[in-house]
Amino acid sequence: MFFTLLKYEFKKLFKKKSVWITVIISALCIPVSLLLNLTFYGVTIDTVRGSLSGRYLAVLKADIEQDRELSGRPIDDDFLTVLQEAEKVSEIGKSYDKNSPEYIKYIRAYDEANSYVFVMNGYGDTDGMTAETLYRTRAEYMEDEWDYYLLDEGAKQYLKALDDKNVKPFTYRYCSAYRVINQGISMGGILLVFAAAICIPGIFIEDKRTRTDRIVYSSKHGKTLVYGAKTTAAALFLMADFLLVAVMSVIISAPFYGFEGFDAPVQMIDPMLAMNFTCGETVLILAGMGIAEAVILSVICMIISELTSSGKPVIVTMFLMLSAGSMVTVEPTHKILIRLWDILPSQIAFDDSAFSVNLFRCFGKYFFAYQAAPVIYLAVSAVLVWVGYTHYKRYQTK
Amino acid sequence: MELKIDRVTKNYGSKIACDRLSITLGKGVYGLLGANGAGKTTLMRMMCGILNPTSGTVSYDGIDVSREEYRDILGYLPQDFGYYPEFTAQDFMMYIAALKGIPKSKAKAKTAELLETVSLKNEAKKKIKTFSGGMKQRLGIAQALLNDPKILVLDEPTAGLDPKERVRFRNIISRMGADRIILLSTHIVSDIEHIADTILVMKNGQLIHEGSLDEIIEVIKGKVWECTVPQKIADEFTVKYPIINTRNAGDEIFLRLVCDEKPCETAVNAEATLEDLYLYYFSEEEKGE
Ligand SMILES: Nc1ncnc2c1ncn2[C@@H]1O[C@H](COP(=O)(O)OP(=O)(O)OP(=O)(O)O)[C@@H](O)[C@H]1O
Ligand SMILES: [Mg+2]
Repeated sequence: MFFTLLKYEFKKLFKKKSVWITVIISALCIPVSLLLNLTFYGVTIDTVRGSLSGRYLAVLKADIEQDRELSGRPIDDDFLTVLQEAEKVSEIGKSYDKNSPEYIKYIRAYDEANSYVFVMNGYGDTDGMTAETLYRTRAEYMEDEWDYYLLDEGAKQYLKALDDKNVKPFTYRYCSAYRVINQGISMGGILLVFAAAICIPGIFIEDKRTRTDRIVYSSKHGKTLVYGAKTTAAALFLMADFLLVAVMSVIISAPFYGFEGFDAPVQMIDPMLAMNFTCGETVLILAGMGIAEAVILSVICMIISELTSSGKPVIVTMFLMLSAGSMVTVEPTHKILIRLWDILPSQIAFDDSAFSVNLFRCFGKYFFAYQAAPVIYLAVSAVLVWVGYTHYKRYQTK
Repeated sequence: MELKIDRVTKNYGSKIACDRLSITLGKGVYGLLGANGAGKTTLMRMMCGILNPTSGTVSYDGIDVSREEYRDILGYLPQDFGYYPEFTAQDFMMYIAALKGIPKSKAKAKTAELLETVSLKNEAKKKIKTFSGGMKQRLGIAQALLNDPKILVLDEPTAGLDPKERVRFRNIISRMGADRIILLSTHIVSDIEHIADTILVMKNGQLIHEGSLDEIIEVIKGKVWECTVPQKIADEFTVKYPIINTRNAGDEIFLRLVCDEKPCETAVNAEATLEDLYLYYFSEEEKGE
């Protein structure tokens, strides 16, 4: 009977236009942003030569090919020399047409690799850089970050031990697909907040608003199973909405970027991370964060709409969460607050938060936000679902 | 089989909507009669577990109204409630059946049967938003019957029904009354006159009368008069007595009124009806205030 009731909750949900609009936006967001990205993909606009999309796509393809050729080379002195040679050409050829074959061959070819090394070098000057200075700079940069965030010795050691397990020198790997998918997932995390604000309150207040409540609540399952069906529908809807965004970003990026790099170390996405997992695992972990976010958001929206019988406080809360997460930076001295910021639902599907160095300490062990968040979310959800239930079954018709 | 309402009170602020009301209902059809604001809906909501009494209890054979077991045997037609406009009548019935925990195959059969009963068979696949008021009302009656309830509470079930459907409805209820408790409220006397075994009269949150039609009418037997009088006397009577009916009869006025004694020489005794009683009670209130 639970599943029948669940089915009807979805049926009621999908009778609403706003829900369909949300779903359509979720589905189209990634394809559209990728298309925009491709349209403006780092080239000067030249309408005289050839069709626009064809040309942009050609440039992108060429770039990807060049990047793939570098894949598998260790990031050592030889590698850096190649990059620096290319850099020199770029300086001589300041007036190059950016679509000219020379430019593409000597400079654009190493764009990706160059910017990667730039980041790995702590965003510092790469003149006269050797493999030795590069890895040292990276280590120092990471330690500076740990100091900046006032990590305790144990945390630092934990992170250091993790990074020591990463094989150096790194091997350059082509893994653009996973960068793009990661961005798609983070975007999905943001879209979830909107979807939650727009779609979830209806599940809990619509029956009261339309006065179907009296029939529902006076029925056998009206005060028990229906609550379960509603909370489950809310969580499943958001999960599905998130997965839609995630799957769309996979489907859309695959034809352009391919899937190589699943087993490349995560450092190919962000060289400053200490973890030992692969790009593929990173994507899966972030997707897991999205799912966890879907659950906690559905519960938060449930409890607010249940307690206030209104959708407005939900929208306000979601808006505040989004703004707080994206605009407010917490000082490292606020040790608890800064960690709360990392596990803010709207933020957790970003690698900055999920893999933040602000570790959680529990029973003498250290955990990343991506490990702590699901547990915390689950506990909070359990409490809120229970509170919601006690409130729900006491409901009185007005 | 006993539905026990025990000293149930409901206050809205200082307003007492239901005042220490006690009654025990056994099998049969009960007609709850009362003016607007008498507290019928309030009482019925409390009987259906969607409104907590300020004090007092409602229980069925010891099962409290707040329990799932109670709701399992309850059918309720609220006075004022919403439908899912985008649902078809069929969807709506199937959903309510699910809420009542009726397995799908059984729900399907029951839905078809009940839609037929309330003559909505041909509209089963139409969206509820295309329904007229009376059609919605019939759908509401049908949903209340889905689980073959032992306790059936119908709040103004005949509101909006045309005469043909009213008759159909009465027949449904009379057929069902034998082995369950049916309580229906109305202020339309003729709706319950013929089907209610027991009539309950509610006023200001209290039950002021309880009994069979004959018992209740006993109160005003011999007190209903009909006479034809000039306008001037008619005006006088209107102030003095509860008037049940007035009609122009040439230059004079025909009056039907309630009065303990013969109001004038030409007055003749008429047979008392429930409506006379209702008007007697509720106009007394107006005069009293
Ligand atoms: N939610 C509420 N808040 C305040 N007062 C209320 C509320 N609901 C009902 N009342 C009051 O309680 C009294 C009884 O109302 P109720 O709806 O039970 O009357 P009723 O007999 O069903 O009338 P009707 O024939 O118009 O349906 C009325 O005076 C009404 O104003
Ligand atoms: Mg009422």
